[in-house]
Amino acid sequence: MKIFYHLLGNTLLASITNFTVWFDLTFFVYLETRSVLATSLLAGIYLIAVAVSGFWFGSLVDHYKKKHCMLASSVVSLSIYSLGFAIYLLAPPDAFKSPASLTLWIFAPLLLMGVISGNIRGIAMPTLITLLIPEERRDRANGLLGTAFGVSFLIVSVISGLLVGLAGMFWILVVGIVMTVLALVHLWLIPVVEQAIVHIDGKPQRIDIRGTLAAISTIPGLFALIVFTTINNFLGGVFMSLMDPYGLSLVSVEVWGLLWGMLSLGFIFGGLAIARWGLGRNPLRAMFSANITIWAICSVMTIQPSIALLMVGMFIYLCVVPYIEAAEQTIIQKVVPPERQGRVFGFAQSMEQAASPLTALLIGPSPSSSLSRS
Amino acid sequence: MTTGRGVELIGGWFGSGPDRGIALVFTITGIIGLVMTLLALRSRFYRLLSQRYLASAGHPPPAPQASPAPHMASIEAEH
Repeated sequence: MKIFYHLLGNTLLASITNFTVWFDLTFFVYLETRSVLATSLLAGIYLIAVAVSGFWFGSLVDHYKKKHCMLASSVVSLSIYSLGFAIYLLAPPDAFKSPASLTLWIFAPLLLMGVISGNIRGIAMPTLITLLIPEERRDRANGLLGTAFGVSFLIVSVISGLLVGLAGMFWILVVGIVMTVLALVHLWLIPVVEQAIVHIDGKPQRIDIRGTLAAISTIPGLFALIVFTTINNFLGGVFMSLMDPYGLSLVSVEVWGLLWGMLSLGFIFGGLAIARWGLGRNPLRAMFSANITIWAICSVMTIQPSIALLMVGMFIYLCVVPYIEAAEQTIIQKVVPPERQGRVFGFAQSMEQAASPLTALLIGPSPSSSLSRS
Repeated sequence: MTTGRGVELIGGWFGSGPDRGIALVFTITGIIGLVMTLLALRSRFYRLLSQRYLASAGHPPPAPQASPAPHMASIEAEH
């Protein structure tokens, strides 16, 4: 359990670092070019890269030791941030001003790849929970993992605006490099006992889509579960993209930003509640209860133009959301053979990301609204 | 949602204008999500996956696979 807490802390550190680079890169691109098109393009590149890399990362996690995958993820991020730092230092000061600048379109996608490399952790961590945590406590561990991602998101959304305003890209990259080194050294020192990987299906393939689909189809209902979650994410994405315009029709920008900061605590409470009480005997039941709650809230919370109604609804919504993710993980951890879990988690990540472009755009930093807030 | 029959129908109570239009999208999305979830809850996949989860003793901590489970054998056969 102690090892798990260390891994959790390490994941928190790494995801704060990577999210910070991503958010501030978007702010930076917007402030330099003043082009919403450029930031949208960046968001699009990010989304496609996440969806494609999920398959590949899943294969890597299955074929190599999970700790090594996480170490490699940090090494890649570190190299890319260092290279990006070099490009930033060498480029003339006005090299990033034009949306058509070649330097900009080498620099920004390069840094994005460093951020995306961190996503290996999102696949490796649930499989490490399978390895390290006895079955009856996995739901709680998944709740904690969700909390860790929630906390990192909250911290980053608070500090990223400050960082880019006060410090600029130079210091963001310095902070990114230093924090990645810290995460790397800390991870290196965590002793994770993993058995030798059993290559049941011969040589490691780079992107093993066939094997993944075969693994998923042998478990009745698993594919349906992933499709169901994907549709849910899509509907959730539609809904989230309308949240800002709707909220801003009720209150001022400042109040809206403040309220969202408080609401996002709901996500953390939800994760902690799972860590404390678990998901019950059947996580699928917990997942469906959570979905019914969410959609029921969604159908009534805008029925009258009231900010109080919206806030109460959204708070419950955000408390319940972590249950869905944690339940999906807990189910996969039990019904999928461990040596294939990386690919199944990777596949789920790819599907769910690809189906919710709107979610990604919203969860991604949106400079126009965030900057007007500050 | 500013003019038209929809406004005449529910505008008096729900409100009208672009903002209330967005509000209506939330309500409709919520209802679609709710119906979808209830349908999925009654489906075969829910029952099968639930049974599978509750029935399987779970995978033991991944010991070197001396005897692959039957479903693994079927995957291998495909290769």
